[in-house]
Amino acid sequence: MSSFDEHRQIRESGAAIAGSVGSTALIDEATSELVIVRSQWRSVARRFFHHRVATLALLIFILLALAALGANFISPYDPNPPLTASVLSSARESPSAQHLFGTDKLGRDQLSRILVALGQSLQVGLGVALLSTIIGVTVGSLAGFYRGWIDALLMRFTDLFLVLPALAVLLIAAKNPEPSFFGLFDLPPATSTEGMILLLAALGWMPMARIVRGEYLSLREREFVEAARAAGAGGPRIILRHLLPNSVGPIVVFATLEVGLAILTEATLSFLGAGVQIPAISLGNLIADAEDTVGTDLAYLILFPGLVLFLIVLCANFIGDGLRDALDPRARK
Amino acid sequence: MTIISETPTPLLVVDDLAVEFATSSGAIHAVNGISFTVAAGETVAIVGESGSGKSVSALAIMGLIPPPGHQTNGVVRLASQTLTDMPDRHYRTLRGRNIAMIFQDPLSSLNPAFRVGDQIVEAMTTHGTAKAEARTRAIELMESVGIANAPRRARDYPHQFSGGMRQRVMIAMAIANRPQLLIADEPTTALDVTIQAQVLDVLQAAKKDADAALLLITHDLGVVAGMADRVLVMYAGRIIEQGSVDEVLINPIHPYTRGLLAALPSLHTNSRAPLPTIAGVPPNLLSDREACALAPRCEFAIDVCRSSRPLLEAVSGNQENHQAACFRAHDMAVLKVDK
Amino acid sequence: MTRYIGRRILAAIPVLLLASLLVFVLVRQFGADPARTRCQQSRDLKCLARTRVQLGLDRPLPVQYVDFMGDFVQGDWGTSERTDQSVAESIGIALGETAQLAFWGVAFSSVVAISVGVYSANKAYSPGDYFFTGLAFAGIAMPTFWFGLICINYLTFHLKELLNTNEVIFFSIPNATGHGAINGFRELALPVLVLSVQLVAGWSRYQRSSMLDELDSDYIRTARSKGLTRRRVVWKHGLRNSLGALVTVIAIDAGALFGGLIVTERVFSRPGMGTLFLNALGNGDSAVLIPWMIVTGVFIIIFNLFADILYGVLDPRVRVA
Repeated sequence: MSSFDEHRQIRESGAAIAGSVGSTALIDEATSELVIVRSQWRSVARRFFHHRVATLALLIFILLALAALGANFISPYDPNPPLTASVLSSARESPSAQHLFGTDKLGRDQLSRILVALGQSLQVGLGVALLSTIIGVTVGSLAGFYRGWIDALLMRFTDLFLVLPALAVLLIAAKNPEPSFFGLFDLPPATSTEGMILLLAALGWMPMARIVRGEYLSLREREFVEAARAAGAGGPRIILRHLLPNSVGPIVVFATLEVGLAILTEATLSFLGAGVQIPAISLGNLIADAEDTVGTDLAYLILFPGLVLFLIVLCANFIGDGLRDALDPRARK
Repeated sequence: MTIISETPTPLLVVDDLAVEFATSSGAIHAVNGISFTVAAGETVAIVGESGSGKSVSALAIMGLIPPPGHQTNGVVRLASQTLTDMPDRHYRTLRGRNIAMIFQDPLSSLNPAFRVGDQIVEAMTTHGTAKAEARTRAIELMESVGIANAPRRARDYPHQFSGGMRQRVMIAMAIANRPQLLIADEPTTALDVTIQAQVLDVLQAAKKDADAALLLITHDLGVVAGMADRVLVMYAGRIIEQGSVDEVLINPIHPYTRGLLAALPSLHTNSRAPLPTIAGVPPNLLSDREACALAPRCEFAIDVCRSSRPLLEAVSGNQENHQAACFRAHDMAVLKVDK
Repeated sequence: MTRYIGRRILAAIPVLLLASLLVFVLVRQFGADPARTRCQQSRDLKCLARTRVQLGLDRPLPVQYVDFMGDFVQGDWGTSERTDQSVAESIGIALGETAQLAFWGVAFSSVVAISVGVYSANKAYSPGDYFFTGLAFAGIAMPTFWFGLICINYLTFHLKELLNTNEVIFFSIPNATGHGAINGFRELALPVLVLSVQLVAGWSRYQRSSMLDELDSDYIRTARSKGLTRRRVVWKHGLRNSLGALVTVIAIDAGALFGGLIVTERVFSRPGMGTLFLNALGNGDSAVLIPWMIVTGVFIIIFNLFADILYGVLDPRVRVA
């Protein structure tokens, strides 16, 4: 039995005992649980860093994120300079020491533009993962714990969306110039970064909800939940203290994978002309803008933004894989 | 010291076999140097609780120890051939033809996606029998193990059979090539009590029919008494007592064997009284300490049991090659078993 | 079995109806105003008002929906708001084109994914397995549109330079260079490759894990004890049992391709459902968009059903039950 399982059992039995003893034991429960949780996270971290590829991916991801965050300071050039004669004169320069990734058709430094686009991608990826996790965990918790109509509605709703081609739905929705929340209040359009985050999260929270629901359904039959219920704990308490902490593994793993998926989806939408519009820069519209350079000497204008896009998504997925190994050792064969 | 019996030429020789499983917490010593022989036509039973290494020993003879396990020492010989370190392309031609095996759970041991008849046929075509001939023989085999309506049943899938019938299929498959050695690993454990006896009868008949020796692995001493000529008792990867069935079951020496016998329900004991059990838990196979593995659970243990390991030695004044690995064997021989 | 299929079809109808309602609302609510499209975006208010009445757009949305579905199920799918072409006809043509690409993509990907998956499971945790694991991760992280452009750039243009020929090795504009098997191959090779990247990545991982489960089974040990070679045990006994799960996934994914090749068709300028959709979206042609979405939904449902049936056929335990 791995130490993770042991901790989990200690925690579960500890919670069950504390629940039946009454409130005086709660302080003990809280402190001992804290200790166990801390050592549990330490062993999760140890297992994560044992996964060498995931560790490398985390390192690259952090470096790329820092580069995007500090784009203003480290960018060698203005990503969107006024198109003066001197800028235009350096158009179509192949990658060199001066312009690492070359310059585009208007003489703008491609590296500087990619850094800005990377920041936009990361904002979308992290924003969508966060938002869709919040929505998904909330809906999934309600459906998994209370069952009933919320559950039925969630399941029918996801069935419904499974029947529709996701990209097509996103494209149609992204075309809406004045989106609103069921006509109640206005939402930012998908041409803004916030609007894109809202759109992707609004149509992307359902898998998370299903995962959380599934976890709860299996957890709610377990002894420690029964014990908590027998001790008179209410629904919110059981969800927050027992079900949610025990579902953290799958939630974190899926949220991480969601980052990569959201970045890819946004880039694809952007390539197809939805989302952020020029002069705002995204990895997708950088590539779309350079599409006519295919087969010419300028094809590096496509190559580099795509490589960065590929790298960031790959890193996010490897981090997710490392987290899966670290958080659920049993899942590994 | 070798324990090869005076039987003329043993069919199977297992000499000092050791098997380890590599795990992240260290090597698990599943089998720790066991030696025994099986003569042609003989039935030898290996008894012991789960984890004693009996199934792993059987798989070692088949050359099918599952990873991360591997044979670390010893030699297995069948007739004149050395099986240990034999290349798999050669080994596999012996499997199913010279040695065949029957497993514990007949449902999971049969492929759910193929017809039962085809699975028996495959056992023969693999070793060169023509398909048409194998088909006819498969039906005959199914009839011989007592499956009614064999031609039609051959076209059914495993899930359409009852547990006992599935095990009959496994037996038919095992004897298809008339092997010299048949290994049956707990063949009735997964079956209903009511049909265990029938399946054992079928196994006995099949063995005779194929003229094979039988290595029967079980934890059921009742089965041993009814089927075997000789018995090996295993504990913690070692043989701790062996001899003819009559000797061992009537005059057990080792406290562990006595415990096994005492735990056996019988018509004479008071059915309301709780069955005696062997106290304590099976030993941790990760550590291979120089001590009798049973010592912590043994009421007869003395200091020497905890500091060195007893070897298999002949029980004094015994003609039938009865051996036990116990420092107190002499004392135990005097101490009669309560009946 | 027939009753089972019948029941599944009946159960699919309400889902489909709800999905069509969702699509209708989505397109009507978010999409361009059909009347405006008809009147060539003019501000001619008379034209707008007239067209609105003509198209029934002045009625409440539920009435419009019922009216539309009434015509739709009777086979009257109307005409494009832009080109006056029959919607049914253009969807039919597009479906044929997409089906061709989807078929070759699925066929190629299944063969590769099964081979890779079985190999990886059989040699689990070997360098070869890690190599394919790495490739699968790369495939999942690969932006399809970018990979397509990169393939065109290097495999079409640079390969030509490299080999110093004028002969186009891969990819010529569809239907521009005549017909025949060679041209068909040139047209399809790159789109199929690009489309396969993600399919193979996902399917091979799936096949690997279900094969690993099977290789752990007792019947594998039995087959080995009969004297079968390891290779035969893996490719006959293991594969046969692990395939059921993968075939289900393949069927479901294949169904989604009819509405899911938007990017591939766009990058390779191929006609088909994806191109039809992008054109309709660009033109604000809701008369095409709504039936398009419903048709793709129908394909997804049909292939799901097909997956269920295949699963039953492949697993005798389900078949009889």
